[in-house]
Amino acid sequence: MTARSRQIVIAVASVVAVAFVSWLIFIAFDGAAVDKRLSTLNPLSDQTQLYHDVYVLVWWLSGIVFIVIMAATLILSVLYRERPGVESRREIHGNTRLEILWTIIPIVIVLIIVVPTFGAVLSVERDAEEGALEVTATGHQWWFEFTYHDSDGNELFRTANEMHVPVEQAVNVSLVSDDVIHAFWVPALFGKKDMVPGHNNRLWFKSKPGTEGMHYGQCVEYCGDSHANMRFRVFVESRADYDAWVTNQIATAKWSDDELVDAGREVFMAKACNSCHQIEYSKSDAPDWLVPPRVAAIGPNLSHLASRTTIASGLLDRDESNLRAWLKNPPGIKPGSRMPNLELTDDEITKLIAMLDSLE
Amino acid sequence: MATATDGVGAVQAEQSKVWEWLTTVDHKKIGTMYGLTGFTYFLISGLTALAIRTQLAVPNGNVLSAELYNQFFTMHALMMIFMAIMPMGASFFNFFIPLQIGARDVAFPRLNALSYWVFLSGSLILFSSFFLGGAPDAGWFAYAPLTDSEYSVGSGLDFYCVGLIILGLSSLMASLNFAVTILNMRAPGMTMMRLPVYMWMTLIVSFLLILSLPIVTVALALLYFDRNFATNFFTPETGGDPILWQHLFWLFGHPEVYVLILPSMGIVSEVIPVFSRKPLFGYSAIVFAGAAIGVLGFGVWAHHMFTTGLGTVPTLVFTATTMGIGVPTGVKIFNWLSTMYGGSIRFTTSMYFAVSFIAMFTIGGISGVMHASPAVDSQHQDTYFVVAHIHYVLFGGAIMGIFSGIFYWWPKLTGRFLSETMGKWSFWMMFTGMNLTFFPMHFLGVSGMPRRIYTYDEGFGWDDWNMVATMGSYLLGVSILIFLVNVFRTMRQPATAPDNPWDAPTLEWATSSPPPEHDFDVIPEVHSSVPLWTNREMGIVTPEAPEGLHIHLPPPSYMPLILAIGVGLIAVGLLAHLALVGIGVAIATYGVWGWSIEPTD
Repeated sequence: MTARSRQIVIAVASVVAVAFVSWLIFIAFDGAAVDKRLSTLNPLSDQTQLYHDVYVLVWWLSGIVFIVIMAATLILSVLYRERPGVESRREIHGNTRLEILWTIIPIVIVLIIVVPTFGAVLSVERDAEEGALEVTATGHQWWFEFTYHDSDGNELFRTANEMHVPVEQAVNVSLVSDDVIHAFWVPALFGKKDMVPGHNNRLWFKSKPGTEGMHYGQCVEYCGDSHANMRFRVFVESRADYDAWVTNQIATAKWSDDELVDAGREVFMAKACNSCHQIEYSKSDAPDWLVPPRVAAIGPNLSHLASRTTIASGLLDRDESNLRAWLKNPPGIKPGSRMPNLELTDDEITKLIAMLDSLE
Repeated sequence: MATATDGVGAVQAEQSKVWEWLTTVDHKKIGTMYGLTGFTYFLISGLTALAIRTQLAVPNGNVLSAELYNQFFTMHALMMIFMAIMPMGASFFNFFIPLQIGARDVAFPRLNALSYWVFLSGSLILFSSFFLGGAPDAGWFAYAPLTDSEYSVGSGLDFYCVGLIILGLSSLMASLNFAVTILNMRAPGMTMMRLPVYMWMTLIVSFLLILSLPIVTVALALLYFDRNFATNFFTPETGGDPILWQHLFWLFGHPEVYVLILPSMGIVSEVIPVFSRKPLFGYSAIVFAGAAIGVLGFGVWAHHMFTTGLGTVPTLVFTATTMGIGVPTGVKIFNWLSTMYGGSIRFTTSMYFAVSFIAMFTIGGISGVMHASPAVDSQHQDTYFVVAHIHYVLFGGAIMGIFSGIFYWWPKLTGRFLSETMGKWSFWMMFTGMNLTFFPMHFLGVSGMPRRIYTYDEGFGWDDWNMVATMGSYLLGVSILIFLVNVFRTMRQPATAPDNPWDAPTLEWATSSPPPEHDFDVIPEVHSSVPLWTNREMGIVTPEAPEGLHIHLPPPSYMPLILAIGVGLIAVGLLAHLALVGIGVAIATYGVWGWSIEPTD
C-alpha cells in the first residue's frame, strides 16, 4: 500500500469515526432527557412545543455543522501530515471567492435559525388569551408563593411551592420577587423567566390535552445559599379535580378538636411560629388569638399544608420523619434558611406534626 | 547574530537578583512574572474546580458546605478569568509584542512594570478574601440585589468590588501600553497588514479592554457605594434597579469573553501556518473577522439577559446581533482549516493543541449559536448546557490555545525544548479529560440540571453523567501535573535551542533563544506578513551588529513598585480602615512624584 492510499484509508476511517461519535452523541442527547424530572425535551404546553420545534431545527443544523467541521479537521490532519518528498504548497494562501462563499454559508445557516426563532418568540411572548387563570408567583429566599385571583383580580388564597392548574387552560403568571432575583421554570410547561424585585414580569402557558400529572420546577437564577434547594411542582389537573382543589384552598383551615392537635396549636403560638406562618382558621372555630390579621407572609401559608405533597420548597416529601427532621433543624436541611432552629423538643415536634397533619 | 550580545547593551551595576526583579522594566522579565503568577492562580483555581466536581460526583454530596461551594464556584470563575487567563495572555503580550513587531521594549516600560505590580496587589487582595471572612459568593456576575449588604452580609462582595477595580486598573494601563506600542513601534516596513495575526488580536483585545473596563469599574464603584454608603443604585426598595447592574456588567462581560478567546485565536493563527509550513490562508479575512468580532462583541450583551423580561423587540434585536457574530467566527474556522490544506503538517505538541483548539472551539461556537436563539435559551439558560458551552470556549478554546503557545514559544523564552513525549501525553490526557468533563454537561443541561447548585437529589437522573464529568476532571488534573513535571525537567537541561527551530516566519525567531535584553542586535527588514520567509526567498540578510554597538535601554526603577504599593494600600483601606487610604494616597503620590523626576538615561 502506498503512503497516499494509506492516508486515504485513514481519512475514510476518520469520517466513519466522526459519524460514529456523532451517533453516540445523538443517542446520549436523546437518552439524557427521557423520563427526567426536569427534561427540556418534553414539551407539554403550546408554548414549550413552539420553542421545542425551533430547538429541533437548531439541533439538526448544529449536528451537520459539527460533523462537517470535525470531519474536515480530521481529514486535513491526516491527508496533509508531513510525508517524505512532499513539499507544502506555499502558493496557497487565500482565495477571495472562497472567503465570500464561507461568509455566505454561515449567514444562510443563521437566517434559517433566526426566522423561525422570531416567529416562535413573537408567538410565545404575546399577551395571554382572554379568560386566562390569573396567578401571582412570588419568589422568596428560598421558596415560591402562589397567590390565586378571581377574574376581577381579587385575591382568593395563597399557597406555597405547589401550583395547581386545569388542563388545557391558559394560565397567566405574574412573576414578582420579595427579595433577590429568582427564576421560574417548569421545563415541560414554560421556559424560564426571571422574578426581578421591582419589576413585574409575566409568562403564560396552556397545557396540551392529556398532560394531567405532576411536573417539576426549579429556581434557575442563582439566589444565595440554598439556591439548589428551591424547587416547586405544578399539578396539571382535570377541571373537576382543579375545582375541588380550589374549593378546599379557599375554605378556612380545618378545625380539629383532637387533644394533640390542640396542644400543637399551643406550641405554634408559644414558639411564635405565627409571626411568619399563617393558618387561616375560621373565626367561629378558633379563639381570637389564633386568627391574626392577614399580613405579608414571611414563610409559607400553612392553612392547607396537609393538602401538599412536599415540605421545604419541594425538597422533602411531606411525611412524619421528614417533618420531624425539618422542624428539628431547618438550616441543617436548607442552609441559610430564614426559619431558625427553634430548639424544639421531640414532644413539641410531635404535637406540631399532629396539628400540621390536620390542616387538609 | 545570536552570539553578538556580549558587551552590547546598557551596563548595569551589580545588584542582587531580587532587587533586579523588583525594579525591572524589561518586558521579558515582566512577562515572566505575569506568566508565573497567572499559572499559579490557574493551578489554585483548578483545585477549586476539582473540589466542585468532587462535591457533585454523587447526589447529595457532602464534601463542601453550601456556603463554601458558592464561594468556590464564584472564585473559580473570578480567578480563571481575571487572575489566570488574562495575566497568562498579558504574559505572552509582554514577551511577543516587542519581539514580533521588532521593537526593543514596550512604549512605556515603567508603566508596564506598574501594570504587573498593580495586578499582583489586586489579585492578592481578592484572593485573601478566602482567609478574611469569606470569599465573594454571588457568582462572578454578582447580580444585584443579592450583592446588597442586606443579603450579602460578610465582606466578600467588598473584596469583589475593590479587587476587580484594582485588577481592571492594571489591565487598563497594560492595554493602553500595548496598543500604543503596536501602533507606533513596528519595525521598518511592517505595515498594519503585515502585522502578525497574533499582534492584530492583541491590538483588538487592547481596544476591547480600553473600552469595556471603564464600564465595569463604574458598576463596581456604584455597588461598593450601595453596600457601604447606603446609596440606592441597584436596590429596588428605594428606587434603584437591579437590571441596571446586569446591563453594566454584561456590557463589559461580553467583550470580556472575546478578551479571553481572541489571544488564543491569535496564537493558533501563528502556530497552524508554521507547522503546516504554509502562510496563513486568508490573512486579511482573519484580521477583519477578528476586528468584526471585536466590534460586534459590544452589541450582543443582552443575550445574557433574555430571561429578564427585556421585551420582545430588544430580545429579537439581540438575537440577530448575537447570531451575526457567528459569521466572522465561522470565517476564521474555515481559514484555519484551509491553512492546513496543501500543507506538510508537522504534528508537534503545539500543533496538536492548535488543531484541537479548532475542533473544541467549534463545539463551543456551535452551542453558542444554539442558545443565541431565545427559543433554545429559555430552556437552556442557567443549566449545565451553558456550563458546557463556556468551558468549550474557555478551556477548549482559550486554555488549549495558551498551551499551544507555551509549547510553541517555550524554546524562544527559555532556550530549551519541552519534552515532546511528555507533551503529547499531557495533550491526549487533557483532550480526553476535557471532553469527558465538559461534553456530558450538554446532556445534563438538556435533562435540566441547573447551574450553581451545590447539591442535587437522587431521582433527577443526573447521577451517571456527573460521575463521568468528575472522573474527567481528575484526568485533567493529571494532565496538568504531567505538564508541570515536563517544565521542571526541562529547566534542568542546558539551553541549546537554535534561533528558529520551527522555521517560523515572524520576527521573534530572528533573534537568539532566549533573546538578549535588548531583543535584537539589528532589527530585520520587513517586506511581508511572513518576513523571515520572504527575506530568505529574496536573499535579504540582516547585517551583523557593528562592533561596539551601544543600545540604549531604560534603566530599572523602583517607582512603579512604590506606586503599586500605594494603590494596594488605598484598596486595603477601602476594605479595612479609611485611615489606610490616606497613607496609600501619600505613598502613591510619592511614587508619582519620584517617577516624574526620575532620570530616564
